[in-house]
Amino acid sequence: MNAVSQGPTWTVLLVPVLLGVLALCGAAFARVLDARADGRGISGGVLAAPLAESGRLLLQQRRAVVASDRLLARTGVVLVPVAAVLAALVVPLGDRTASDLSIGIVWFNAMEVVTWAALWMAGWGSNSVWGLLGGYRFVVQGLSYELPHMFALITVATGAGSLRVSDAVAAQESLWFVVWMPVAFVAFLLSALALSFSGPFDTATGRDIVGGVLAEYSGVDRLLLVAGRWLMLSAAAAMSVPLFLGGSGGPLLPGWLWTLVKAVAVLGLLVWVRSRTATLRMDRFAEFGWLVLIPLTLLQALVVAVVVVGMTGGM
Amino acid sequence: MDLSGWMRIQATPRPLLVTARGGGGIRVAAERVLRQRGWDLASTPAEADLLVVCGVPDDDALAAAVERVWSAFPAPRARASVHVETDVVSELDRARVRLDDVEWQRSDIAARTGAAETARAEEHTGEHDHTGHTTHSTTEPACGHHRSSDPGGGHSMGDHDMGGHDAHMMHGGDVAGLRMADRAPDRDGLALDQLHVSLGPVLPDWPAGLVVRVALQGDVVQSAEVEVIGEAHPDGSSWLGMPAAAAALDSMARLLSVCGWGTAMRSARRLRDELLTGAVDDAELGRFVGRLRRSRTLRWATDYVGRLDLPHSDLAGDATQRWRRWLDVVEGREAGHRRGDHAEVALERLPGLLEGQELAAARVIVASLDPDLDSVLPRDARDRVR
Amino acid sequence: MAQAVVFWVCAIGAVAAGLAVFRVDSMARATFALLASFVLAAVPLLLLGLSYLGILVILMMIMEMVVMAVFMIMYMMNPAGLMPMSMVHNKKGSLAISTGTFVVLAVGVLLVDWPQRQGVPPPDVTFALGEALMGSHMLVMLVIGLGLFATIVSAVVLSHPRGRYDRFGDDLRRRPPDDPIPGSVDARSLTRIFGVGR
Repeated sequence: MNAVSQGPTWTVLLVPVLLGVLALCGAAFARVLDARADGRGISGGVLAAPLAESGRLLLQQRRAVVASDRLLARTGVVLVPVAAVLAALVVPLGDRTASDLSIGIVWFNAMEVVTWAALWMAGWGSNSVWGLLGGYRFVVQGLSYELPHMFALITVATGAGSLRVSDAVAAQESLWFVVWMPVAFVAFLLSALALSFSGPFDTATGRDIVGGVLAEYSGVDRLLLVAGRWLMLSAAAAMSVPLFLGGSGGPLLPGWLWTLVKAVAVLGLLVWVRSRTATLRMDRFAEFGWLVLIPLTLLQALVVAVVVVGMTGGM
Repeated sequence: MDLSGWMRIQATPRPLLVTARGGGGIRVAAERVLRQRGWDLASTPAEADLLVVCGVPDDDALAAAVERVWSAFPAPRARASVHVETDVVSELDRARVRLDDVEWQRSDIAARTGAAETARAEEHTGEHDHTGHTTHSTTEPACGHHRSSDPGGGHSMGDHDMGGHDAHMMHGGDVAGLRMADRAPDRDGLALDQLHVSLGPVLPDWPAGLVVRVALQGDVVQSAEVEVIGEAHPDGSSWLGMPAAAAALDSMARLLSVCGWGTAMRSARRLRDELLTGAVDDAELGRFVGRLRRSRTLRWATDYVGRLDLPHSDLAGDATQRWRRWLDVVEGREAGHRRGDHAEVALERLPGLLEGQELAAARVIVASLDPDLDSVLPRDARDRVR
Repeated sequence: MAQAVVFWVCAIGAVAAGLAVFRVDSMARATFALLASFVLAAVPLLLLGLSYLGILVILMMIMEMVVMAVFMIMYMMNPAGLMPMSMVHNKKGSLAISTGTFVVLAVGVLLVDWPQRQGVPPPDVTFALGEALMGSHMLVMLVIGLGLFATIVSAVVLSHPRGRYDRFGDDLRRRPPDDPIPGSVDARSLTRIFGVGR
C-alpha cells in the first residue's frame, strides 16, 4: 500500500462528482429495496428513479409560505449539500486525496455539524409548525449521538497518533482499525445515519410530522435538501473507509477501486439497515445514547489508549 | 420533444391521498394501483403533483380543507376525484394526462396568479402593511393567504376555518393573518410558548374524518380536542365487506408508516392487496408477521405508548399489545380488530391519552387505535367528547 | 496578499455580523448573525496556522449556537419569528458598556508594547498544544474539567423535581419504576433483571 499524498488541485473538483455518483447509487439501491417490498419488478426505471425524481423536482415550481424567513431558509437549504461535499474533501481515493489537512478528522466533524445549523435554519425559516418541529428534533437528536460520534473519531485519532486522515490510513497497514475498534465503528455508522437524517434517525423528516423540515419545500429547494441528505450519507460511508477499513488497502485490485468498493459496501449496508428498522423515538434514543453508547465508546477509547501507550512504551 | 417535456415524462407522479369518511375502500383500491405503478405517496402538497380525493367530501369543513390543500400544490399539478372503486384507474390516467398537458398547466398557473393578485389587492384595502405581506410574490402564488402548506391545516387553521375571510383581520396576536403562539405552563410548571395545531382532516396515515386540535409546547401535546367531520355513512362502514385480516394489515401499514418504517409499510400494503385478491403466499405472510414481531425498533416506538385499561376490549393495553393483536387477526387467530363500539370508545379516550405526550407518541397512539369513523354519527361523537 | 484580503474580509465581516445581531428583529436571525460573527472571527486563527484551534472554534460555536436555538424554540415557538421584536435590552446601558469595552481594547492594542517574536513556531502546532495541555498544564485541565462536570451534574440533580424515591417507592423496591413516560432503558434492564413487569 502506498502512502496517501496530496493530489493536484483539480482533484477538488472531482470530489462532488464522485460523491454525487455514490449518492445516486445509494438512492437507487433504496429504490430497489422499495420496489421489492412493493412487489414490483426491478427494471431500469427503478434504478433511474432518483434521476427522474430529480428532473421532476427541477421542473416543479418553488413555493414559500407567508412570512417565511427566506434568508435563513435558503441559506439552510444550500448549506446542507455544501457541507456534505466539504466534509468529503478529506476522504482519500486510493493514494490521492483532494486535501490532506493536518486536522482532517476534526474538519470532517466540523463540516457535518454545519448540517445541524443548516437543517435548523431550513426548518425554522419555512414558517411551518412541521418544519419547526423537524429542525428542533434534528438538533435534539444530535445531542444523543454527537458525543459517541466524537469519541469514535477520537479513538481513531488515538490509534493513528494523528488527526490527519492519511496518517490514519497508514496506521492500518497491518491491522484495520475496525478489528480492534469495533464499538467505535458501530457508533460511527449509527451517527452516519443520524447526521444524514436518514434511516432509523429520520425524525427530522418523519412522515408523522408530514415530512418535517421537508414539509414546505418544493422544486429545487427540495432537491437540494434530499440530495444533501444522500450526499452526507455517502460522505460518511466514504469516510468510514480511511478511518476504519484500511483505506485503499486490499489485494489485486488498484487502490482507488478498493476505496470505492468498500465505500459502496458500507453505503449498501447503511441503506439496508434503513429498510429494516422503524424510526427510533428520540426520547428512547437519548437514553440509549447517554446510558449505553457513551460509556461503551469511552471504554473503547480507553482500551485503544492503553494499547497505544503500551506499544509505544509509555511515550 | 424538448428537454423539459422529456424529463416530465420520465418522472413518476407523486400523489397525495385525501380520504373522506366512507372512502376507505376507494383508498385501498387507489393505493393498490399506485403501488403497482410505482407512484410513491407524498406526505405534503409541496412534494406532490397529484391530488387524489377518495370518496365524496360531502362536508363543508372537509371540502374547504381539500381546496386549501389543492391551493398549496406547486405547479404542475392535477387532481383526481374518485367516487367509486371502479373509477380509480381511469381517474388516475386522466389526471396523469392532464399533468403532462403543457397547455392546461399554463392556463392553471395563469388562473392562480390572477387569483393571488386579486386576493392581494383585497388585503391591501385593509391597511395593515405588515412585513409578512411583502413575501407574497406573483412567482410563487402557492402561498396564498393561508397557512397553506401543511395538509393538516397547520397551526392556527382552526380559527381560519370558522372565520373564512375574517382571517385577514389583525386580531390580537395575529401576524400576516397567522395566529401567534401564546403562553401556558408546561408539564414541569414553566411558562412556555404554545402553538395551536390542527391535526387532520388531511394528514397522511390518519383516520378519515378525524380532526384533533392540539396545543403544542415544543413537540409536547398540552391539550387535545377531538372532532369528527364529514357525513356519517348510514349504510355502514366501507370496511364491512373486507376480510378481517386485510383490514388489520391496512391498520398495520398505517402504524408502520407513522413509525417511520417505509419498507415494511409497503410490504404490509402489498400483502393486504394480495389477501383481497386471494393470491397471498401464506409462507411469506408468516415471515412478514414474524419479522414485525421480532423488530426491536418497532417495539421501542410503541411500547408503553397509549396504555388503556379496558379489559376485554380490542383497545386494551399499550400500542404494542394492540398491534400484536392485529397480527393475531392477520394470522387468523382472532376474529377482527374493530369490534363493537370500538370507534366511540377510542374517540372518548383519545384526548386523555394524547395530553402530555410527544407529537411522535401522539401519532402512534392515534394510529394504534385506528378508529373506523365511517359510521360514527358526528353530532353524537362531538357531544360525547365535549 | 491573499492572506491580507482574507483577514480584512473576515474582520469587517465579523464586525458587520456582530452589529447585525442588534439590528435584526428576529431571534433566529440574531442567533445566526452571532454565529456568523464567531465563525468569521475563527478564520484568522486558521491564517495564523492554528488549524486545529480554528476548526475547533468553528465546530464548538456552531454546536453551541444551535443548542441555544433549541431553547429559543421553547420560549418562542413562532416559526420564522413572525413577530418582529427588538433584540436589545437596556439600550443605553449596553451601548455604554460595549463602547467602553471596545475603546479599552482598541487603546490597549495600540498602546501595548508588543514583544518581538523570539524563536520559531514548532513544526506541528497541534501536537505542541496537546503536549502543553497534557503535560505541564495537566493538573489545571483536570481540575477545571472535573469542576465543570461536577457543576453540571449537581445543577441537574438539584433542579430535577423527581428522585429515585419517586420512581422506585420509599423502599426502592417498586418494579417497574413509576415514570411519567414509562419504558426507559434502565427501567427495562432492571425489570428484566428482577423478572417483573409485563
